[in-house]
Amino acid sequence: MNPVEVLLVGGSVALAAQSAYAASLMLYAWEDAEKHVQSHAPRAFLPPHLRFTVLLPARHEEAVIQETIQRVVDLRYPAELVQVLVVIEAGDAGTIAKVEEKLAELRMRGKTHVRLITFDDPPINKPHGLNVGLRQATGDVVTIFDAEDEPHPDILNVVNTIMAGEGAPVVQCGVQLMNYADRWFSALNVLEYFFWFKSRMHYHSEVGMVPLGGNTVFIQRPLLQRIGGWDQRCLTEDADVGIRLSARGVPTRVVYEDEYVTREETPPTVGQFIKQRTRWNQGFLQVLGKGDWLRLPTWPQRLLALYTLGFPVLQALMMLYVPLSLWMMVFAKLPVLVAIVSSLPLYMLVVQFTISLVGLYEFTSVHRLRPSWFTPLWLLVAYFPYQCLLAFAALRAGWRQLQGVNTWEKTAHVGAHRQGEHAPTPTPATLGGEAGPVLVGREGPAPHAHGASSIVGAPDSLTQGVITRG
Amino acid sequence: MASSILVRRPAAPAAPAAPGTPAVARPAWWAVPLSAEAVLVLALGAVALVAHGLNMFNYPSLGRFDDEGIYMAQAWAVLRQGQLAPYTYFYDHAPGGWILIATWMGLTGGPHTFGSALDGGRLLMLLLHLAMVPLLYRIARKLGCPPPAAALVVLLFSVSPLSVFYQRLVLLDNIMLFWILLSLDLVLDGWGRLSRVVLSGLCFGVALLTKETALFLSPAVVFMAVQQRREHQGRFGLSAWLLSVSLVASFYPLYALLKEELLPAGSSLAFLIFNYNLKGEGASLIEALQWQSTRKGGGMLNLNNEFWQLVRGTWLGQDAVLFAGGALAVLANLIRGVVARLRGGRDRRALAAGLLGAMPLLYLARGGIVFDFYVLAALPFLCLNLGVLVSPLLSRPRAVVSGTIAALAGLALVGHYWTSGALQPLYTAHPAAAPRTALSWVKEHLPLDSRIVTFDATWVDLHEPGAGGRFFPDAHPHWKVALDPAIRGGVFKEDWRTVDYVLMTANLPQAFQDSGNTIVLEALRNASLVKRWEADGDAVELWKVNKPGTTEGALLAAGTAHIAERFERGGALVRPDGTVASESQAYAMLRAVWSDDRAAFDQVWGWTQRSLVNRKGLLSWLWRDGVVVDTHAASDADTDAALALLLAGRRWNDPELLAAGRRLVQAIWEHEVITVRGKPYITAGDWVQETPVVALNPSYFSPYAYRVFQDVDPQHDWWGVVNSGYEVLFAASSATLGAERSAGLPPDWVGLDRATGQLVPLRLDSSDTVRYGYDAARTYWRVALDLRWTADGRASAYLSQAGFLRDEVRREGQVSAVYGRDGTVIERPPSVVGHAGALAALLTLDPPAAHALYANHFVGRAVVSCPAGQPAARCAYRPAGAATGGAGSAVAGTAGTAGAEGRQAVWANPDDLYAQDWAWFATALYADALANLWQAPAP
Repeated sequence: MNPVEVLLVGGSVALAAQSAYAASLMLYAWEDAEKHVQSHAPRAFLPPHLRFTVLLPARHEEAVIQETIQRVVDLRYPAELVQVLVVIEAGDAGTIAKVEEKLAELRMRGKTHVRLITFDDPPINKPHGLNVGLRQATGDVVTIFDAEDEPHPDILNVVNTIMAGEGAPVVQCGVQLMNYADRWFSALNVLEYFFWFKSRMHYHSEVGMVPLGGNTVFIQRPLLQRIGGWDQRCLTEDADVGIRLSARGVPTRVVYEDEYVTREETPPTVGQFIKQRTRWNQGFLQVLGKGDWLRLPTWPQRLLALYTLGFPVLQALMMLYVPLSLWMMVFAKLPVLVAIVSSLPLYMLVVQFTISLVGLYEFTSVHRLRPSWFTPLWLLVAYFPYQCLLAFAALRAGWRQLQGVNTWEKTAHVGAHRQGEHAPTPTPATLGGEAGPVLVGREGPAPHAHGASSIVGAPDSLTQGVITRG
Repeated sequence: MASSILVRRPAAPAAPAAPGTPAVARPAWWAVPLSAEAVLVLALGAVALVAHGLNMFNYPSLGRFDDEGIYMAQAWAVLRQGQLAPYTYFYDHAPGGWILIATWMGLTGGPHTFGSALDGGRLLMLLLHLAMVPLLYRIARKLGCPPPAAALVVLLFSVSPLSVFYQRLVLLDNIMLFWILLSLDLVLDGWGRLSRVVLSGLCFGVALLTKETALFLSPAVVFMAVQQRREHQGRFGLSAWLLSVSLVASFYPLYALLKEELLPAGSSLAFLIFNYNLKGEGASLIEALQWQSTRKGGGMLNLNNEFWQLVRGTWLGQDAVLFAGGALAVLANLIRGVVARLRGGRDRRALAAGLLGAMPLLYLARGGIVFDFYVLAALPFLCLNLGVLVSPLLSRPRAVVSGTIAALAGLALVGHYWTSGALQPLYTAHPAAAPRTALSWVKEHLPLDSRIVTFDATWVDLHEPGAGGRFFPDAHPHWKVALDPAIRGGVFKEDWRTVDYVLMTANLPQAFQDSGNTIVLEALRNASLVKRWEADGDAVELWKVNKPGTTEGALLAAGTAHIAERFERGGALVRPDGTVASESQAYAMLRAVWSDDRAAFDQVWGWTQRSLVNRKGLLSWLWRDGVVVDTHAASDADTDAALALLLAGRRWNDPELLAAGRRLVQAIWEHEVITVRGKPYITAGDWVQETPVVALNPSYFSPYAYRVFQDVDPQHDWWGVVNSGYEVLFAASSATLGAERSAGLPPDWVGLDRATGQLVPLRLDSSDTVRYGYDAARTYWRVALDLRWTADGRASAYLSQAGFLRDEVRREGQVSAVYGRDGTVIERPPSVVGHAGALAALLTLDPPAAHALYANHFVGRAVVSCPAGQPAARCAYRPAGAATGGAGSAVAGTAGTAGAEGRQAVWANPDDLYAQDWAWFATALYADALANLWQAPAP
């Protein structure tokens, strides 16, 4: 074998092994009955006990902020145990006006546990806002909802039961994109969330290295204050907090009950998608560079952190590699064995696609959606372009990181996931109640049609929420 | 340490019963104290080790199934050549099986680590069988068998004569079974772990890559996989299994695609070669699959199709308990399963077992082509079905009762096999001894460039450079010769004459007929049996095609090498008693000139000149310990030496040798030719001059030499010597010489009455001179050489009178060493020189008999070996400088040249120089390697 072939074989084996590992993480939650049971939310709730502070950071969210506040207020939990802090940069007059309008309306109805906090010192970004909110927080537990989020009404009851019942210091609940039929890439984006929160997060929790999500994450306030809150210079402050908590040996309880997920939406345009994904990737690279992961207690944790945070690099490499290997397979006269080995990464791509395809039916089934007959075809057509998008975002993130560009590219929200409401959820039995465990039925009646019509492009003012760090 | 998905976790509470909960319930076998069942399985493994392993290298015989050798050869190609088959790979089967064998070969240090290549393969089969013991046990347990029943399943699988017989063989089916059982065990994981489902799928994929017939079992395994779906697996359970299977299996078409052999290439239909209709050379996967799926076997509904023939003729005879009982159990379990299902029962274990048994049986009975060993795919599942069927009987609350019943049943089973007699051959017969000894003889004796048509079991052993460095790149299996254009046309050039040897088992001629192997059939019609090895009903034969070739060159070189090492001391050929005869010196000179070995010639002639040439200019005939013991000369030695000198002078263009030859010729005329009644006669030597009855020795008569002498000595009447010699020969052979009648053989000696010119019996000191013995046999050789050189009609006429010898050879396969005048046997054990004479006569009189005599006695009885202390790798055994596949002429130019490091050939007694000399001259005559260098000096 000449050096090129050695390189090709080595690279192919390494990439295929990586893909196989990634695939096993995608399927982790389906491995055995124990994991199946563990990821469930409690079937019955303990009486409300913990006090919650809900942070609602927002910026240029005139379109959705009022409804979001309403949803948080509507959470089924005693209002006296909930503090809601809407954190907004002082210059965002439009959103502030909408919030004040809403607060006035709430006060008229006697709801006074929601407050507006503004700040005007740089940097103007989400972690700064969160830190501002944290200083005002009084609850036992701090949680975050994003402006476009649609949390389940019983989410605080779920978390109260887990934290009080199990003594869990940190709880990450599932976040799920829902509008899988909107854009060509929506289904794949939705499935990424599905596999990440439903499956892979459990693995991270088991290993003890959890890059927390940006919302529906519940952290004991003293813990948060002890680690100094969020890193205001980080593009993925959520993952960063998770790793710093893990480094201190704080366990994270992960809950993904399909019914209780916080619903979100996919970015409205490819451009937005790229920006969001670039930010995440770059944030991961930042966290990698900060080196907190090196303080994780065990080697498996450190390796997993390295793998997770460095994944954008792998993805970029994969993107560069696949066309090369395809070209080599077709045009270069490779020995057959080398050619077969070179095809392994493509094989794993097929494996991941198949998992995604099956995952689509799992997803639509548990959320009582009915995919159309061409959805799988769509998935097939979109799969490779989507991988290209991911790889492009990874390359872009790497490029920006190398160039030292750390601007925050905010994602626009238009409330697409709210166009179709999910079916009313049953009221869970209280602790000791009559009703037995509720299994998610597969044959339940189909809910009314999910809004599958495409959304209108978001106005520029929404997509350009870019603030340079000071 | 963090767990991964592959880490087994403690048993979780069973998933709540719900639609889709597997009916194949998780057995509680880990709940039983582990040690008890582990001990049971270990004991079963020990039984399997003995039942399978004992005598497994000897029975079944190595040539019994071609498939064994084919897969070993293909594994060898993977290991040594980095390709999937030593010949064009035509997708007859997926390569997974022999890649495994190649891995095994590589890990264990090559194919010869355990003896012959097949022995190594069979050892691997033993290991696979031992691995299947716990697998089958676990599967049985998971399908609801209590420990005693599961133990019976495994016992049946390990001791049934049917099972042991086929499982010892290196067959893809055995490897496939291992992967299928592993796949089943994994998919029946008690926890329903998704990773096990994936691994199960991967294993089933490997089973498919090992032998595609695993596909026929897939419905049953898919049924299991479907039954094993769990709530927590969601939609991933079955799809993960199917995906894993197709992923692994797809490497097969991918390989074909990359080789651009997936689709039929135009009209070159490679698979047509199996219709014996060679046209093209390409291979294609699609065509191969079509071919495999359409091999005809008699039709599904035909009760005389191959399946039913095998059932009646083979399988039921080997083990009726397993085959018939298992089939009935399959039926019973299927009915039980269906009935339970109709009644709404959840337990589908009987149905699952029934399906596992039914699928391979349906495959066998489908009406296509079926070989007897195909039954392997059904065997473990037949055992399993019997176990599942008797499980209710063995599920007693008291383990002792069940255990006792099972133990008694096991004993009864083994007793039945023993009394039926089906078990004994497995452990007592040694038919493999025949091919084994044949193989080692062939590897030691045949020249490396021989073109050998052989059977598959010998392939790797013939091709792998073993410890002796001897391998045969031109050894090919007969069916490749019949069907592979690259071999048939490329190597054998569509011509039987290119074949040197056919190594075959007794049943192969039928296969040659079936495959239309015209090359081998024609070669066999023109071949003679070299050797035959027999053991316990198995026979292997080596046939040599009747033509001189590479063997003769190698034998001549090896014969010379032995003579040089054993006898030659500074140019003297010293016999064990310390004497040197002029005859031996003359023979050595002749061999050297015909072998074009100038150095040897000079050495021998130099010594002879210094030590033996006497005052008369002749060679003193006997020398011992530095002095001439007897100064008399023998005319044959003088004549041979003179001829050697003249040929050498002509060949190497040396006037001194010519002059020496001429001087010797003059001396012979002067002292050894007498004239009686006007005719010159060649006498036996210079010592006969004075007597009234002149001693003649017919075997000294060398007409071909006298013709050369006439050229260099025109003053004397050498033609007259030729003429008188032929007259004496005819007369002496027909004369009764005092006996009642003559058998027509020349006498060792005869007297010529000076007065009358009549032939009379000669009185010599001791012996009976009129018999046909160690002297007279040479007569035919000399006359035959005269025929070769001159086509003298008297020579052919004389040779044609050797009917007595022909009858002896035809009747006895040999000639005796010494016959009386009337043909009575005086000394029965044959001598080399006796056979040399007979060969020379029969080559003219009865060529087929001559070829048979030569193949058997000169090729088959040569003992070729590497001299002690020689580095084996340097121990060459081929004619020096001879082109590969050279015909007789190439042999002639180089016959007998051998370096000191060459292999040595010995005939009869290695200390008998005379025997070695005449083996050499006989072989050279057969090879036509005795050129008339006087008329046509070699370039």
